[in-house]
Amino acid sequence: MTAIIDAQDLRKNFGDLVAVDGISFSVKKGEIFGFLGPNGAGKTTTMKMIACVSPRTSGILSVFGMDPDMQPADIKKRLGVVPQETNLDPDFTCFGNLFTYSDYFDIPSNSAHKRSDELLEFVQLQEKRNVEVEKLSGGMKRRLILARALVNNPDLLILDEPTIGLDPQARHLIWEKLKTLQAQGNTIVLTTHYLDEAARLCNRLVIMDKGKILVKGAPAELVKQYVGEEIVEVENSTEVLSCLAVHNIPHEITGDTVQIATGSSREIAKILLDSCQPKKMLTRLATLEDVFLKLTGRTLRD
Amino acid sequence: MPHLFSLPGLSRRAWKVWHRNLTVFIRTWHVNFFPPLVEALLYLFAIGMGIGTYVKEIDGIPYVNFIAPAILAIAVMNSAFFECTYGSYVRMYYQKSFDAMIATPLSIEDVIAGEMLWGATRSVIYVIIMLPVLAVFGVISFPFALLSPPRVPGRADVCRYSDVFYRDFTRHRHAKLSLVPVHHTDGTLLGNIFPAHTAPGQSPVFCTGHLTSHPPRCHHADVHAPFVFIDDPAASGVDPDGNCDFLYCGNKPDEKKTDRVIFNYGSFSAHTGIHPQFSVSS
Repeated sequence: MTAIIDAQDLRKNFGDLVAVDGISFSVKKGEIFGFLGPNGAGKTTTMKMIACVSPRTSGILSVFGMDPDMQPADIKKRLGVVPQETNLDPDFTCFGNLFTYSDYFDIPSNSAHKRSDELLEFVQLQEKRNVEVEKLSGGMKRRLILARALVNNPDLLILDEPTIGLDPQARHLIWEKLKTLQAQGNTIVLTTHYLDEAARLCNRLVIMDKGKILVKGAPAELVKQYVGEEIVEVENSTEVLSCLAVHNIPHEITGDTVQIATGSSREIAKILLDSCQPKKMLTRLATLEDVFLKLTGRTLRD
Repeated sequence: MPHLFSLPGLSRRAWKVWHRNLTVFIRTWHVNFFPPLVEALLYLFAIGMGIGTYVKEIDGIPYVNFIAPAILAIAVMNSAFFECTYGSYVRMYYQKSFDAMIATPLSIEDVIAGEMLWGATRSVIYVIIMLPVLAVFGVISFPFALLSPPRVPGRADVCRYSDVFYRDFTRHRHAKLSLVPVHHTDGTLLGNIFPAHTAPGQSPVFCTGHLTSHPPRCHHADVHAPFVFIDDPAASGVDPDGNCDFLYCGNKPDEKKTDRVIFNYGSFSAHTGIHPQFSVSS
C-alpha cells in the first residue's frame, strides 16, 4: 500500500510552546485514520501542517510524496478540508458557496455548476440550494462544509472534528457519507473527541497527548491491548473496596463507581455477587473511551 | 520562515479572490450603489455650499468647482481604504473567509493581492458612480473628467498602507487598525480644500507650526482672511516669515484678526492626541 501521508519526527513550536513534539505516523491509501486526544494535544496543529497552512518547525512531512513547504498548491489541489470552525462564506447561498469554492480550484464553471448540484444532493441539502448559509442549522452547515471539501474530488479528505455539536441524526448522516467516500477510494484523516465515532469509523488511529503520540493501532486491538475485553462496574463503597482487596482484584476508582477491567466478566461478577453484596453492578464491553481515559488520565484539560 | 522582504508567492489565482469580491458586490449592488451617490451629494452641500459661502472664489474659480476633484479623490482613497481594512478585516477575522481560501490552491499572498486589487477596483466603481452626480451639478469639466477613473488605481495608494498591516494581521494577529491612513486622508481633504498659494485679501491665511512645541507662523497674513489653516510644519516646507502664533490665530479674542481657524487635526493628532477631524472654530 502506498503511504498518502508520511511523517517522521514532525515538530511544531509556537515560541516556547511545543504544540507537536516529534510525532511519526503514516496514512495508507484508502483508509480512515483518526487522531484522538484531549484538547491541546496537537491534533489540529497536525491537521494544519498536513493541509499546508501551517509550516512545520522541523521533521519530515510528505503528502502525496510532496513536501508541503515546497509544493503547497499542488498538494492543496488534491485535498479536501473540513475545518473545526465553520467558515462558510456568509455572502453566498449554499450553491454559491460550492460554486465560488470550485473557482478557487480552477474548476471550469460548467462542471462546477454540475458538481455543486450533485454535492448538494449528496449531503441532502438540495432544497436549501438558494438559501443564504446564515439561515442554516448547525448540522446543515457542517454538511455543507463537507460538500464544499468535496468540490475538487479530493484524494485525501482532512476532517477536524467533523461532527462537533451535531445531533445524533446529523452525526449518523455524516458517518454514512464518510463511509461512502471511503468505499469510493478516498483516504480520510480525521480528529475527534468522540470515541464512539473513532471506534466506528477509523481503520487505524493514534491517541495523542501533549504533542506526542501515546499509542497507535486499530481501535479494537487497542482496546484489547490496553484495557481488556470487558469492564465490570460496581458502586464505590467501603464494603466493596475491602472485598475487592480481599480477593486481590485490580480495580480503578472513578468517582462514585469502581471499574474492573477483565477478560471474563462472568467470573468477576460471580465473585462480587457471592461475597461482596454490591447494590448495583454492571458489566459491559470495554471501549475506546476506557483506553483513552486510561492513557490520558481523568484530569480536566483546558 | 519567509523573510519580511522576500518575494511574495503570488500567482494569477489572486484574481479568484478579486472575482469573489466582485460577485458579492454585484449580488448586493443596491446597497453598494447608494453610498457614493450620497457621499457626492453630502460633500457638495456640506463643503461646497457650506464652507463655500465663506470662500466664494479661488483664483477666479467658484469654490464648489474647486473642491469637486477633492471629493472624487477622497472617495477614491476612502473606498479603497475601507475596503482593504474594514472589509478585509471582517472577511478575515469574523467570516474566516481567508482560512477557507487558503485551504485551496490559493496562497495567503494571493488572497492579500486579490483583496488589494479589489480595493482599487472598488475605487474605480465609486468614481464612475460619482462622476454623473458631479456632472449634474456642473462642477466638473468634460471630457477631461473622464480621465479620472483610469487614474484611480494609482491614487488608491492608501491600499498600500493596508498591506503593511495585513502582514501584521496574518502573521502576528495584531488586531489593531492603525489610524495613520485616516490622518492621511483627512490631511488630503484639507489639502484639497485649500489652495497651495493664496492671494492676500480673498483667501485663507496659511499658517505652519506646531501646537505644543513651537508656535505656528502665518504666511500672507491678512486681517480680512476668512480662515486660518494650521498645518504640520514638517509637511508644509513653507518658509516662515510671519509672526502669527497659535493664540493669534484663534484663541485670544482681543488679538483675533481672522474669523475662523481650521486646524489640520489629521497632522496634529499624531502629536497632540486630538481627535482626527477637521473643525471650524471662531
